[in-house]
Amino acid sequence: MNAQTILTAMLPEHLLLVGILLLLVLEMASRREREFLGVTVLVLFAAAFAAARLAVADYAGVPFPGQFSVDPAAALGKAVLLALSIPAVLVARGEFGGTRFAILLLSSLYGACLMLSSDSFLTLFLGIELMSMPVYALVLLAMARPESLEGALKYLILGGAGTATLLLGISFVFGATGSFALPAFAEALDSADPIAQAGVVLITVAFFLKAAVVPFHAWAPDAYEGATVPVTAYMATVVKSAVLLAAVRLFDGAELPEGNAALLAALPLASMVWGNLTAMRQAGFRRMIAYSSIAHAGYLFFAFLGPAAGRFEAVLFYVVAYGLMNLLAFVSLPAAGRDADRDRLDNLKGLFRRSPYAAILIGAAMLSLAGIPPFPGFVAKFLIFRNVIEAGYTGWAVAGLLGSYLGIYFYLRVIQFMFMSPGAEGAAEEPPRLAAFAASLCCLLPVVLLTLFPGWVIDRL
Amino acid sequence: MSNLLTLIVVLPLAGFLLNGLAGNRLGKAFVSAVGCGLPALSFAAAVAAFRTLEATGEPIVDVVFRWALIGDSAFEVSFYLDRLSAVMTLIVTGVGSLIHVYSTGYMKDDASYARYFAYLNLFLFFMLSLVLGRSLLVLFVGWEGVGLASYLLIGFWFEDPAKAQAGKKAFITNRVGDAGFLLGMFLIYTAVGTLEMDRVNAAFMGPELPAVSASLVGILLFIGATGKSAQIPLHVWLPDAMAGPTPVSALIHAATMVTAGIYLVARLSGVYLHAPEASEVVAVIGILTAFFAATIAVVQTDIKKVLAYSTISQLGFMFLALGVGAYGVAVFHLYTHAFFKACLFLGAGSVIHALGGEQDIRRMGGLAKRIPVTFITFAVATAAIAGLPPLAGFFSKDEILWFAFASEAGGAPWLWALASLTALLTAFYMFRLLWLTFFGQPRMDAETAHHIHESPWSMTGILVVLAFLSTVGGFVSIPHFLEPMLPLPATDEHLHHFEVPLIVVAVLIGLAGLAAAAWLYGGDASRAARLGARFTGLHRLLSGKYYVDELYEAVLGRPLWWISDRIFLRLGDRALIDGTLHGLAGVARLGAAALARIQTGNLHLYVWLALIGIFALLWWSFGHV
Amino acid sequence: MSEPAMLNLVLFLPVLGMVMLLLVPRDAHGTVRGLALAVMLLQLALTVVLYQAFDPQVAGLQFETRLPWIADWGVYYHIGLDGLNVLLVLLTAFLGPLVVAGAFSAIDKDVKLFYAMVFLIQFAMLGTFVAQDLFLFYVFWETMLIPMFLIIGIWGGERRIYATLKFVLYTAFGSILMLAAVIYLVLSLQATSGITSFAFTDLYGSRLPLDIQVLLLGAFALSFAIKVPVVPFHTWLPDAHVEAPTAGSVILAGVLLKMGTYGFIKLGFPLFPDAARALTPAVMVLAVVSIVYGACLALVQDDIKKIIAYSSISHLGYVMLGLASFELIGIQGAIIQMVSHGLTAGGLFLMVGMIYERCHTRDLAAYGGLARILPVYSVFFMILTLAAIGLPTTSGFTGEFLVLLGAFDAAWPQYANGAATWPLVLACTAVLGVVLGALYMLRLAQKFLFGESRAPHAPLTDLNLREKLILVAIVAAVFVLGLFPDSFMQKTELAAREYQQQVLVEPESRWVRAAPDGGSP
Repeated sequence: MNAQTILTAMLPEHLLLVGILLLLVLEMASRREREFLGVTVLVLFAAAFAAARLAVADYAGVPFPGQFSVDPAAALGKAVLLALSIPAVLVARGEFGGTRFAILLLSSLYGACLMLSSDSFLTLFLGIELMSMPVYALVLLAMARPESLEGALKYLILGGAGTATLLLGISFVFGATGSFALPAFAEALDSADPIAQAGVVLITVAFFLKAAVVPFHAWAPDAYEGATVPVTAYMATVVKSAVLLAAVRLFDGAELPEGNAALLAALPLASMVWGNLTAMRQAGFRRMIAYSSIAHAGYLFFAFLGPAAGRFEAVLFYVVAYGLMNLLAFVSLPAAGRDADRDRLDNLKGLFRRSPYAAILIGAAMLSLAGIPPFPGFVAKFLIFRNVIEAGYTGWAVAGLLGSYLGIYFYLRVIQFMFMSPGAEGAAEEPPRLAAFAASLCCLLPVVLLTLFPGWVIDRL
Repeated sequence: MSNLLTLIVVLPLAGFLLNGLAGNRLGKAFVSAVGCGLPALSFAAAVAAFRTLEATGEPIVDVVFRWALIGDSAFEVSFYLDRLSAVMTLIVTGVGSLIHVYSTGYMKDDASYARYFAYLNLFLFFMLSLVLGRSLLVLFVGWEGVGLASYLLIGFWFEDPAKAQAGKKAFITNRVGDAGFLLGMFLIYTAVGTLEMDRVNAAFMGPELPAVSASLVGILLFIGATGKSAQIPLHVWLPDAMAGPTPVSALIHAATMVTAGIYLVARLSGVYLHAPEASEVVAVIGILTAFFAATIAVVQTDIKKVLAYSTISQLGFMFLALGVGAYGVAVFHLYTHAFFKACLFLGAGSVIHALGGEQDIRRMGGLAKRIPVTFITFAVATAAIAGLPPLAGFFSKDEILWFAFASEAGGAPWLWALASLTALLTAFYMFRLLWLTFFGQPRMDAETAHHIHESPWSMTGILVVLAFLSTVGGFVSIPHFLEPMLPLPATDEHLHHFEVPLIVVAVLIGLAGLAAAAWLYGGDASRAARLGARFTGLHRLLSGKYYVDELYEAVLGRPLWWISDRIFLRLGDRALIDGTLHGLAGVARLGAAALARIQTGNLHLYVWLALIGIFALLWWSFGHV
Repeated sequence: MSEPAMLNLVLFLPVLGMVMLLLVPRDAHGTVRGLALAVMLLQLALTVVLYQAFDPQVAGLQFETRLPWIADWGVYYHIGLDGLNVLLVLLTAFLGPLVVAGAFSAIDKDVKLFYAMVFLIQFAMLGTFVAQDLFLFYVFWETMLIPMFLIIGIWGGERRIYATLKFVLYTAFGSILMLAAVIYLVLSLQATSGITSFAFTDLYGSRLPLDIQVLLLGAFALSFAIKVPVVPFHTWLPDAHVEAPTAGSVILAGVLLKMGTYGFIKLGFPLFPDAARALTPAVMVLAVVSIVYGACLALVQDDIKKIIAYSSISHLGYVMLGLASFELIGIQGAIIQMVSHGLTAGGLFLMVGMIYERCHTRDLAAYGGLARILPVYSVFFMILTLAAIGLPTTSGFTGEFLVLLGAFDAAWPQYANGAATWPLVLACTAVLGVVLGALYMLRLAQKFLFGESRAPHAPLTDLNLREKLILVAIVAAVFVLGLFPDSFMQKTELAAREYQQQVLVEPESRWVRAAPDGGSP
């Protein structure tokens, strides 16, 4: 019967599991970091490939009715998440000895995949937790620095709060609709029953918290700063994307009732403004990216104002563009003696003179994040705001665009540092690191594709 | 030969290009040959064209190329020769060539010899396209072009800031007039649909008038004319223009360019015939300019300045004639004036040349015997401008006075009276000039006195020719010659018995001026001084040129600067616009600071934020259910 | 080679150039410069061929290419030449080599990046002109920001960072609102007529309610007006010009500003004819204000570059006036004036750069009597000055004369039949502007070329061959356009008339029925 289904439908998850076990074995056998990373990359690649195949084959299967199902959209989402995490792993070389990083990463991804296929609140909850727990630990991995401990702690506590609200929300929705199935949410969204409304609000809040939307964002800057570059990259791209994709699945068919529009517009708008403004003043790259990611969470949630049909397309394209660009920036970051120095924006001054290509790549990433054509970030924003206006929320759209305008300055500031400021004294040309190069390559190629043929990609979403 | 007119125009242009591009390398002989040869050639061509014109009696039209075709409105570059433009062309090329030759002597030792002749040829080119242009557009091209040439030549010795400044002043003042010119041109185009002046005239002479006030057109164009022909209120540039080399003053600022305004009005007589108000304005401005310029000339002490104001005054006479509808007469005076005023300027040049650059008549005197040729020619020209018979000036000026008195197209006794008074002043200041320069005791220092010498034949020869023309020129009755196209206005029969008396009066006026000057400056020098002492206020006012420059500076110059600097730049750009922007940026920065301050890293605060958020949302959603 | 392919080649040559630059070693400056110049010259040659092949008798697009780009949204890679952009493309291609050659001696830092950026901006500008698809247009329009940001920011003067950020933030603000308008417009078309398209031709002649049109046009116009720049959106320009390296200023004045006016004539007005007619008074007033305001400010500047910068504001005011007159003569004049200003202002900036390389100051007070020290230089400077003043026989005259004639021609009848007096007042004010023009330009020439000779770092060497060639090219173009504008205007006439029709009379448009709720689905 569905042993077959379970095998095929959950192939990506299985592969991740295999990977984890394999790494545990290796842990005992050898101590060579390269092998761990190699294996991880292989596993991730295999899993991503499997997910992609499922998506392309329009595979739909229900291994666990009512709990876990796979449809092309879900598979595609998984493929994207898994693929996005590859560069993060590649730059992890030399960051941590041992397999812990790899294992935690894989298990977190397992949770992410679970979320994307969940049919019930239970699976969803399970997925979210499974995804988040390892990340707390991942942040801690950079124990060398005091910030990491503090950051992890805050992340843990606020994450816990998120879990709590989620549970509370779920129970309210259950109380109102008597069902744990995801569609119950859509049902509650429309119902006038205050309990249901409360449930909706609480669940939304939980997602806001995980995606770091104002005012539930406070953990992000500290956590991002606390973690090391690969982990920050992972959190900023994969985790956030996973949460948003899960949100799409949660809202699924539901059109937004007029009344609830503000619920999903006001706070995201706030976080655009807040994030973009605060980012101007940051001296650290990761903190800056943290605030930028807060703003981007805002744009992403705007997608939910749009007609339901376009949501998945919009969000997926956005997370791909956004994720790729963030990773591109992270993997191109020049190395430095101490991780803290590497994080300082001053470290970027005059980068163009030292390693022009890194500078150009980071520059491109910044412009794309700022949403300036011809980079994919622009098309992604265009797609979202187009949907918003299509749904008739022109006012919100204009407000959102103005909010995004606030962001341009600090992205340009990075370019200004790299190209227009005199180089930091004694900073020599850096030897290109193979892993980082590979990482930047596997971000760059898709970026080029997205830039030149966005249409081709959108057709395939 | 069909494109003879083009040839007339292009020859000087060739001269400009040759001298401008290669002149410095090829040496003075070459420059002189080209510089004088080509204008002479174009004079020859002009004569030839004139003969064909007389032979056929038909205006010659020479279409060169189409400048622009937009929709159904075509702008063509074409030249047009009728009797009027023929007269002008002959004057321009003829007098022009003479002055070129004169210049070879006058500018002999100048470093920028080639540049000088290049500019002079350039001027001829534009002046000829001005007089030969068929459409107002081409005329305007020439109009602006001569302005440019004049600008370059006034500022020819540009190391001296004052001279360069004078050039700029001329250009700007003319630009003001040009604005009016442009508007008039646009108005004509909107009303008639063409800029070709023969068509425009035809349209206004035709059965049904164009739907536009001819007077408005006339006044707008006249504004342009006041600029180019230095009439009130745009006369201020001409005296300063004397900064240029003297031959330039003779050619551009006496004989040709400054008469462009007269030509323009005469050329568009069709418009002015239907514009009584405009004509009246022309007449009044003309006579006022003539009078005031004359009064100023009385007290000037710079030989060229005297001539400059006399030019302004004479141009005023011409406009008076135009204003009373005697277009032919105006052109007549233009023609005689070209001879004697050129002669006077060149004579002045010869004097200055002799005195090694001295221009102040208070330091001259007794030159008659030292530079006889200059003296004689200068005297003849003076008599001519003073209107003594039978010299050229007499005929033209007399006719002007007559029509000012009797014309039914706006003639009036008071015009005549003021004109006669002006004539008296003219005679007076001209003879004053003559006396102070050539008679009495030499007042220059011994050094200069020692070096005084008559100019070379290249200069004196020209003086003789011009003096001769100023003598006999009057016997060619231009008004009669132009009558077919510029009919003279009807005159009031009841006044005809005044004609002879008026002539007598005119002659007496001339003699009176002569006598006054002789009495005042001929005898002991103190008389003039005493007279001046008696009317100190008046004297100061006159030597201050009625303080028009100062007025303009105070009313236009400084306010413009003040507004631009204080209002537009400091208040507008810096304070308002940039101020606002910097303000907004500042707000953003403050907001960022405030928000960043919340991110203290204090966990309780974070939790509070989250809780507030949650409860706010819950409260909000209940509000909406 | 087929002509559409050739247009694509012209457009993408700069990109090709960038790729080739990648292969050149970083400090082989000679090679880099040679390569850059070669590519630009090739581009110019091809453009001239295209221009020759451009048939003035054919209305609408020529050398058209149309390929799906984002098919789902009806976005196409759609380019082509028409009467409105053909001269601007020619101008852009013409200035390209001059900019490159002009920077040979000026730029010695990050040479490779510099020419890469020049290529990029060349690409973006050409793209903006030839794009026939709103999305594509917007992409090019925005892409232009990046290279300009770097050109000013890296090779600029003292306050370059401030200037370049000011430039980008100013411009980006306009673009953001335009983006909203673009989306709204396209969706409205979709809602009203069921067509999902970004093609200009589909979007023209919108039949939206007037108030909506005014809002949308406002959004477009703001972004165009900032680029032109129209007072009061101009304060970025002087800073940008002063701080930018010569090449930057030339590109800025020569082509970039024209993108704004081109935006008005190609998009703004034809897209929203009703709003255009309704807003004409405002546009004309702003145009005339720009003419006077710019001139007055140019009058009181002591930095040579600032004088020319403000004069640009004044000159583009004439362009706006011509465009808004909706009179054929005025429109034609405006187009010529665009090109003319590109030549004169571009040339003047090049010349300022040349003197700056010798004397290292742009302070007018430091100079005097250059006519004696640098005769050749002074001749060229004088010619360009006169062209800027609009002296007959120069391109400046052709543009100004036709614009003013057009404006007056449009205004007089309204006055005569008592409909409105203000257009006439504006036209006359604009005519008075020519006096101010002479005032500030001659003041510049006066202090700069005449008076007793002095200049920092004297003795100075006069122009070298390279510089002479550059200037000869520009001056030649100035006179050709001044004496024989006919053939050029023949190429643009049909398009100008089409534009006039689009705005004045209701042409058939794809907007079959007006959107009930203002178009949003």
